[in-house]
Amino acid sequence: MRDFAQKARECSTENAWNRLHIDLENVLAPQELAQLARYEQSAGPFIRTAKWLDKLRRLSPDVFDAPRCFQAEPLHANLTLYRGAPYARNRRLLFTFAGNAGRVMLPMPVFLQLFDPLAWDVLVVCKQRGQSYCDAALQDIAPAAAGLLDLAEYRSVACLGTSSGGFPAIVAALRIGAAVGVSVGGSPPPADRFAFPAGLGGSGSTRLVYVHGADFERDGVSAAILARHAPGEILAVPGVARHNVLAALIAEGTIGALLDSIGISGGG
Amino acid sequence: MDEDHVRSVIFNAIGAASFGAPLDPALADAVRSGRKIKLDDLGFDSLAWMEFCIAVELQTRLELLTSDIEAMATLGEIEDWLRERVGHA
Repeated sequence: MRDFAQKARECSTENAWNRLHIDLENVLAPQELAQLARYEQSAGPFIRTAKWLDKLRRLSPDVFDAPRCFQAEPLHANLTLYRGAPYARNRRLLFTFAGNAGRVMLPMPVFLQLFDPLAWDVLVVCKQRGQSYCDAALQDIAPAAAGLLDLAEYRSVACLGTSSGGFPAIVAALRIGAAVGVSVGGSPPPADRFAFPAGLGGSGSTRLVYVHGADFERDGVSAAILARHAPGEILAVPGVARHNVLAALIAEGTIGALLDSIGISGGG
Repeated sequence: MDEDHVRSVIFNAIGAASFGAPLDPALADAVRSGRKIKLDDLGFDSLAWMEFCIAVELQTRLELLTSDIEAMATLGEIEDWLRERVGHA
């Protein structure tokens, strides 16, 4: 909280506050955000921070009322593990690939709040600004992660990527033999910078799902292209006319049903 | 601030709002040449517009806000906004 207070003192314009809030949204675990809200109430008022927190509260009241307990653990320049309860048994690993904005379509605490820390650890791959998933280091991030974590300790692994992280999630799921690979609003990489590995669609044990808003044509076209490279189910979410499917569903209160249907049930 | 500088500021801000992803070549060309571009055609969400405004402020010290942009329809209007404030930053 001292860091926040220091950074808040340096914010002299609305844009500077937005920078601070965006950066926090991209990394905080739910209980850290709840702690920040308590700090704002006791040490504030930080008017702009209070407005930002209100916006997040409308998106996910539980983050503030009953925050899930994940501990962030940086593993690598591009990898952060949000570890749930390490003593719990039969845990699963959700291996996520953030989009260009450095998030899985949702603020990180809101996303993590969807998952039970007794059932899940959440590993986040995040590009640095200017990096591409076509860069060699990121094309090999799945085996790199497998070298940093003992995947065998997990009951199963699921891969999920959004936007530019969609196709890397599919590739990673096939490479590490995940139970499921999900692309949400994913787009195909430039053909001259990334070649889908030969035989990518050959594994019958990994379920692949391509999710997109049914009324957002561009993403529907992209899903069809990706599914030609690595065959899987295409799930067009009815009534969603925007790229950010997860934000649309969390606003409607139906995101749990989507996660259940793609085999990434928040409770495990 | 001359025309080239204004367009450079906007070009860089679009890059920031695209989070470093390569710009569509046709869009990049249109921005550089000052052709009329509707803001809706950029496909930015609210987060991207915040990044755009942050990038403009970092380059110019002019505080362009997302609420200012809500009243605009084209990139040309943002260019005009920048030109009008030159020398006042």
